[in-house]
Amino acid sequence: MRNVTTIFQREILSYFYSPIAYVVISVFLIASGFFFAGNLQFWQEASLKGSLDSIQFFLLLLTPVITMKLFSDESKSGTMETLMTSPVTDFDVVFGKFLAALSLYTVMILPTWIYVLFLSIFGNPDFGPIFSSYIGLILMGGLFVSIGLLVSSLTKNQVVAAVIGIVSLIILWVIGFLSTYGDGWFYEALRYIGTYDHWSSFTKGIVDTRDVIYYLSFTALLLFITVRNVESRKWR
Amino acid sequence: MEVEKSLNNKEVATSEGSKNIKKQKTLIGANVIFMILIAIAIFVFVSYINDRHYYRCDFTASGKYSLTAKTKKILKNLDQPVFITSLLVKKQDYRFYGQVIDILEEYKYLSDKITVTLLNPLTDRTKITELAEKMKMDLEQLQINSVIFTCGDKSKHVQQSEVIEREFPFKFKGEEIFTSAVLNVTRDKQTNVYFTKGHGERDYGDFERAGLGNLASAIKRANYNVLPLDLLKQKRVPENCDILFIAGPTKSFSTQETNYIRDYLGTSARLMNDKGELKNGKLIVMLEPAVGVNKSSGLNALLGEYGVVVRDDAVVYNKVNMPLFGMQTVVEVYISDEKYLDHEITNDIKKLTTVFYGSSVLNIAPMSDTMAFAAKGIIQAPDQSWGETEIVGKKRPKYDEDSDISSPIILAVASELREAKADPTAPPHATQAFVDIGKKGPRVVVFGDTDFAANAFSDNPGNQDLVLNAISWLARREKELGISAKAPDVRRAIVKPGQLSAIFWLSIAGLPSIGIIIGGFVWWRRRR
Repeated sequence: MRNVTTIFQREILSYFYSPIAYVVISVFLIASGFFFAGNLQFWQEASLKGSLDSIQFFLLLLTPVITMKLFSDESKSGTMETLMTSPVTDFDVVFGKFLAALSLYTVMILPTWIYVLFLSIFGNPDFGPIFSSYIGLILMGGLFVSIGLLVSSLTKNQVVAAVIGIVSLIILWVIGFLSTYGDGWFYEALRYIGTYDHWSSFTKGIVDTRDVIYYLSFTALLLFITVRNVESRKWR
Repeated sequence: MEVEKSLNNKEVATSEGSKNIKKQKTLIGANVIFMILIAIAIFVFVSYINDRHYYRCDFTASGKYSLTAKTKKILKNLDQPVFITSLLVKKQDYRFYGQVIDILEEYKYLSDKITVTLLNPLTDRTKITELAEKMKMDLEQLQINSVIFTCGDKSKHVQQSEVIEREFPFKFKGEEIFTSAVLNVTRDKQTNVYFTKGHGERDYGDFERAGLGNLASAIKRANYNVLPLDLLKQKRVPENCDILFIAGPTKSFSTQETNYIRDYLGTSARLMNDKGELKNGKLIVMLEPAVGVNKSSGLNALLGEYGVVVRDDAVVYNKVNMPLFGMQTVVEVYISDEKYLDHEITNDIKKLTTVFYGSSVLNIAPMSDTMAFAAKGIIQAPDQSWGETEIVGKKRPKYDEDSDISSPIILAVASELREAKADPTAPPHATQAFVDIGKKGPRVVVFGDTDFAANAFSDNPGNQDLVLNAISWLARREKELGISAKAPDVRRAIVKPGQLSAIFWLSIAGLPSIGIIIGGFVWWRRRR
């Protein structure tokens, strides 16, 4: 676990020593602020549901930007070999990087709590759905980061990693809608794999173990594949 | 020679080593692929189990998605599969659509006997056609914007409008309606509604303007059996008759027939059957005065025993200000708001308009202590209406103070056993013997009109609902669950324009600028 912490510290510092974290956070806050204020003006409701629905779409676009450099940059700059020959396991490397990216993601969504403060001042929001929405955001973030991480481990080019990551997340987002076009196990599987249905329960104030386990198991699978992919560099 | 041999040996060794490395790489590669496949298999297995066995937790303060213990118990005890199919159109009422879908999800969660299918009536035409064929119904009878509950060959259709309380602030009563629908389709016994025939009654199989085809379809959708009854042939009201429906007879019922009905319903003098049990007959009568002036339906004496006095020689006229023609006297009577008198039949349709078309006037019989039944008016005609007694040969009806019937005019009456008086010193009446039975026993509903229930008028907002509510009341289904409707938990944020502007700029500029400033500072420091 010490190695994971070391990798985590290294990555998180590299995020905050470069302007990328600040740019991503600022862009996210501008977009989410716009949606929050717009929803508040339009619906006059002391609820975050409408704005979070829009905000999570921005997360689809921004999370791959957070993860794009994690492995691509190492491969391009040649530090990957050093990392691979250092006394850390592939799991340590992948998990440390995952935690760092997820932390940055959390830091990015944390300031949106100011919206809750605004709602509390001007209304009486139901904190249950707000609380469950943030649980959903973190779980969804874990899945998004793990996809970005896997894509980053497959290519040396950061831009390619970001683009493939965004496209993958959008596909994962819309795949659930395809399930309405048919019946049977295949369409059932599509419905299950799609992220939207799993996310929408959280915003309503329902925490369903199906959604929690979906996010956790999918994230674990992707991290496992990433570890295997990183490991494969040694024998390729 | 030896050098050459040594070189050859080295080449062979290198080639073998290379082969070994290649073999090793292939093995490792295969191993990795195998492990990934196993991981995917585990993921699929976990997902499969996860999708079938799950736990839901409702975090909302109002318990918006939680069902009552009563519903949970009913769902837990289900022993047959119930299929719920939603034909709701999302865009028509998105807020209640979401609530309906979420609550159905909760039903599915609470019982593995429940299967929920969501169909879009605008796009899933093939599936809806299949459903109609399976249910042996016409496509039109399925109706969009409804939720269909089926169990075996029984089905119940719930309209979206039924799940919202019609009174502002439009409470959601989905749980009561849906649980009731589940109970309806899983009950072994279905409620039988017998329509009498042989007296020129309206035909429930007729879909022309005068027929009752649409009403019968609505009754079937509410999971009642609709059956014909020829009293003279059967010589009694069948034992399995739950509700007897007499719809607009134009010929008189014979004394023999009315006695069959009396025997089925029970009279003040004879309320018990041969087994010593309270009779439980239910009767709904729709009269048709416009076609039979001075032609009695033969039911007047019978209805009188239940406190309903029929003035079938009168038609209600109503003054209406018509465009181009000015003030006119017409036979249509528009009922709305306070003209629905307080009763379980009318309580939830007070926001809807019902149109009667040529109705007879009904009166409430004066009570006596020997009368077991108490009648109550449920609908009253508007104040300017009157009961015209000279219909024949009168071109322009005019109110005649001496002969016509003046307001208030009652158009529909409901009658049931009188409640036993709690005061022991009060004079006894016929129901005193039934103090412990509560509100059981026979019930009668009489409408002064039949046309309002016919196909030609079934599109009027309240017409069909009025009859269906009357049938529910007769069948004692009006509040069988007692699950209260949920008030909408909409929490408003009161923000003035100036405050909204401040929130907007703080959100899109104030908050992000902190990140930009820190980022700029870091960049500037690292640049140095």
